[in-house]
Amino acid sequence: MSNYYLFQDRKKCIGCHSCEVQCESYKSLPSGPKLCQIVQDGPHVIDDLPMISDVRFAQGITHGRSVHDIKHILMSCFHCETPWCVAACPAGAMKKRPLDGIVYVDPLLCIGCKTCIAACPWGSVQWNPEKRQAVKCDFCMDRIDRGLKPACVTVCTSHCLEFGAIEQKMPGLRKKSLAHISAPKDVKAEILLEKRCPVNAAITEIERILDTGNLIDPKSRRRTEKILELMQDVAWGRAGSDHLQSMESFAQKIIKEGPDDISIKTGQFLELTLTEHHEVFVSHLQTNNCATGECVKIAPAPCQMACPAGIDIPTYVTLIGMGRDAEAIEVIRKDNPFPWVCGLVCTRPCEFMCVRGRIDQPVSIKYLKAFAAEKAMLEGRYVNPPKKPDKGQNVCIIGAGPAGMSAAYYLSLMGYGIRVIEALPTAGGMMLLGIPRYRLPCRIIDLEVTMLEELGVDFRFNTNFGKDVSLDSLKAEGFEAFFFAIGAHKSFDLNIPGETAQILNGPQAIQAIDLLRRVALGDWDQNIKWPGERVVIVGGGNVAIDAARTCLRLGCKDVRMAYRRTRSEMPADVEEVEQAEEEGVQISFLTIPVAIIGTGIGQNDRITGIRCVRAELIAQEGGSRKIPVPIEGSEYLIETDAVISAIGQQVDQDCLSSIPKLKWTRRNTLFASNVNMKTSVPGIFAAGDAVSGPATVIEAIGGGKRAADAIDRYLSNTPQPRMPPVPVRRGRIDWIEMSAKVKMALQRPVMSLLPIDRRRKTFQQVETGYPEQNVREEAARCLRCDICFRCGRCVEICRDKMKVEALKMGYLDFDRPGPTDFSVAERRCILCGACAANCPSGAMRMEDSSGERVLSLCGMILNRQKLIHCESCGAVMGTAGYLEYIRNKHQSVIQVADPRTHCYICARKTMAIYTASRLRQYD
Amino acid sequence: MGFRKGQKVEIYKKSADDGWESFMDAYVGTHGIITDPDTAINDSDALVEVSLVGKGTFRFPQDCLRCI
Ligand SMILES: Cc1cc2nc3c(=O)[nH]c(=O)nc-3n(C[C@H](O)[C@H](O)[C@H](O)COP(=O)(O)OP(=O)(O)OC[C@H]3O[C@@H](n4cnc5c(N)ncnc54)[C@H](O)[C@@H]3O)c2cc1C
Ligand code: SF4
Ligand code: SF4
Repeated sequence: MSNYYLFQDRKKCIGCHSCEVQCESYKSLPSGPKLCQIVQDGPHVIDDLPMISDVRFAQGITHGRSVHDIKHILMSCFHCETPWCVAACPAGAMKKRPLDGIVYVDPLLCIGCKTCIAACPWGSVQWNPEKRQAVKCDFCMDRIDRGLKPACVTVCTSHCLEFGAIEQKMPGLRKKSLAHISAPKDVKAEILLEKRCPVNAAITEIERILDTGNLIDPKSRRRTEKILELMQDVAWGRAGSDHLQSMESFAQKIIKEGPDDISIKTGQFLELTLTEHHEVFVSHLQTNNCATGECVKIAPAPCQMACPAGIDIPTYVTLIGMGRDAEAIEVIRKDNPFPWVCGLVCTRPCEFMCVRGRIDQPVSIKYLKAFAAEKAMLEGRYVNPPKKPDKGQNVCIIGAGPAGMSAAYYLSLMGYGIRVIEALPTAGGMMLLGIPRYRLPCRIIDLEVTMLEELGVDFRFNTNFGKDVSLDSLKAEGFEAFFFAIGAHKSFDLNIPGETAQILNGPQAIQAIDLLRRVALGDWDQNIKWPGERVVIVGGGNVAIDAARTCLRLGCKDVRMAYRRTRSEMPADVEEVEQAEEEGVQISFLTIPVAIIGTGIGQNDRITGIRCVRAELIAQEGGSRKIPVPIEGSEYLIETDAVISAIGQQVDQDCLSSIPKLKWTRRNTLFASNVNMKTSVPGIFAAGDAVSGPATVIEAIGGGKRAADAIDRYLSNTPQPRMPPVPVRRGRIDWIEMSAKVKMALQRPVMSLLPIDRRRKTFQQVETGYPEQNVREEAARCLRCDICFRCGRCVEICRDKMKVEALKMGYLDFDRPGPTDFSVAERRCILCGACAANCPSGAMRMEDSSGERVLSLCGMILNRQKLIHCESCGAVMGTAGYLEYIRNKHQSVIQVADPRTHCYICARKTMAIYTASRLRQYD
Repeated sequence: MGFRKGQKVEIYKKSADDGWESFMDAYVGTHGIITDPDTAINDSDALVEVSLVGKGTFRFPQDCLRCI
């Protein structure tokens, strides 16, 4: 018992329920939980119980039987001497104040496992579904500490409630002092439980306004979209000093120029948000931090973060898992206009970060795109999104590779007029010229390029910037911004004797890029054996492998790669090397070419061989890396008809020599900030290989997309961000439900390949893809890291608070991943729900359906057990394991004689009966 | 040193290389995975692609990286 009593004069009570209402409002309770409740239930024949003593009641000691009218009985909490709830609480959140005995819940410690609720035989502890925590009557102890009475007492209309020191009402019952104790103010709790970040709240609201489609005035809508963009910069700590001012000015313009009510109201909302929460916005800007952590909660999945173009991977993968391929393509194209191409050739940084890879194998993110693109295309559902109205401004893009075409796509959708200047007769850049057809068929590039043409992008082929057009001539035509995406097409020389000597078909050493380009464009005399019967490719990278495999397909009998170091240092992808060797490419390691030998060089004759020396790897002084050093006297000759050099490419600067203000880096790449792709010349942007040096298709696409955003900001006088963009979640797709057992049993499929004899002879696509069934299953392997952000709270709660240790999820940690075993949850979980109640993202969920309680993580069912119901009313009580867990907790406090299971509503009724018999003494 | 695909690395210091941009200062101390080393010639001077946990994928000069 506490030192206080709450006495109800039942004869006076008129059953107006004011006390309940006041309690609800004072405690800010949602509808449902009732800390004090007026119970009405008519006459009952019941046991006459002795005075308050939970111990004896539990042991079933009675004083005979009589009839009691259960009418208007106020029920709250007994504040027991040895509280069952306190004993049961695994988190130490249920406490009894030592000086006055009030039993209360500490909201900072409550883990929401509901153990106390099930433990209390009186139904006094209730559930607050909004805060996902237990709540109970604490006699409004904050009021008591200020010398006030509980809220219910102050509001009772019939003055039937009386509150005071128990000593006065029942002398001798209470010995402890009624010392005034002041409870500490729960400042932290207030922040944690009540506050939302205004930046985040404003973003949600703006998204809602835009989603409704009611903001129809184009200017107001565009300005609101700009504010949203800037606010997202703020939320992600990438905003600069101009952002706030710019948002304020956009908001004022919406109010001033808004032609309709909805525009003005939107503008006013935005202006008010920016003024009212000015300090919070400034704090986000200055510290790049969100005090509530709300802004961080929307962090995209690791795979999405890893994708240089920021594709919303979990959303599209799940859509593919559901068979919604066209929608998946729609999602991908919000960030990457070439899903099919990337589905076949992307270097897939996302898969390296894929969380599933910490358990077994990463999800096959790359290939799923290609499957969905092909399906959507076949169904005629691969379509462009609608374009925004024409802005009347033009942008010129130089280079029709992935970087240039991505910028063209996004700028065109924004409403800019786009011209793409391309030196070659066709679009694709290195995707077409470099990547061989056995990896990326031409028709796939063509199909995706056609989508750009459909948008009205004006391609000017066979037009060389620096020769046919210049910056001035294009400016004179009215272009206001320029994007250079000219790639890196100039090869490095081998710098060995004989390399540049001319033979019949050009220089003796062919550049791999030239070979691949000529093959791609069909630009060679197909009547002669080209490049020769025997070829040597110098280099060990991916381009060298592509050149070697292409030579095999051209009919070369003997294809050999000469590489200076050993296999383990080879920069080419392991799978590429494997496939090349399978097809018959030979590799000479520790081989350094020293001269190209020919007969009658200079007299248009032919190559006969390449002279090489053997090398050994010697550790460099002070360096960890071994370098190849020629072994004296080891010279030997490899007989060959052609030498192909594949030792890297660089940017050809010549075409840009007419723009002297363009800055170049020491690696001879075009200088441009990776945040906004701005070069040193205002109005000129650049991305792709020209900026990064030879890199990847997806980096070029990401750069093109960033450049499009930056060009749009440049042309609309919107501040540029300070940090690179954070990927945007493109959807909130439901998860795919399946048991953990099945999900974990699914294995990444093995890619099937064309039979080896066909691979050697034809340019037919080598990777033949997965069957549809495998695709759908593979997509279902995704862990949905866009929902679960792996904070590990569930594991901690289950292990440290509940002490059940049902969650063994070692994949949560990037640095030190441990073993993961969901079968532990299947064996040990008692379905208490503490993990679900504490999951900040809603990823862990506990639900009751069809007589079972089910615990799932992002749709992966971890455990399901039969429910036990209240013996009186049939309400759900929990699982057998859970009730057993609670009983074990009680054992230390009290032995329960009555083994019946009652829900808390029935328990409260029981308590009302008990109270009725008890109060008879005061009637 | 030449990095390999899939290696776990840390950005352990700023680099004086011109491939280092000021926004990268905020990434010192973060961890990630090498997703695209120099696949042409294994040049210790090349910029390598690293995917950083929670930050994104960028090319960094190799002198600011160490394996973890
Ligand atoms: C053999 C090879 C294999 C590759 N394999 C892969 C792979 O499997 N996966 C992957 O992700 N990446 C791969 N890459 C890299 C990838 O192709 C490039 O990183 C990517 O294409 C770069 O895109 P970009 O738009 O910057 O430049 P590019 O694709 O090079 O496009 C530049 C375009 O600009 C044009 N241009 C240049 N100068 C001018 C001018 N003065 N006037 C007009 N037009 C001009 C060019 O003709 C070209 O069309 C490979 C590269 C090569 C060489
Ligand atoms: S499991 Fe799914 S969401 Fe998580 S990283 Fe992998 S693909 Fe992305
Ligand atoms: S895993 Fe099971 S036992 Fe552990 S906290 Fe979650 S519901 Fe409770």
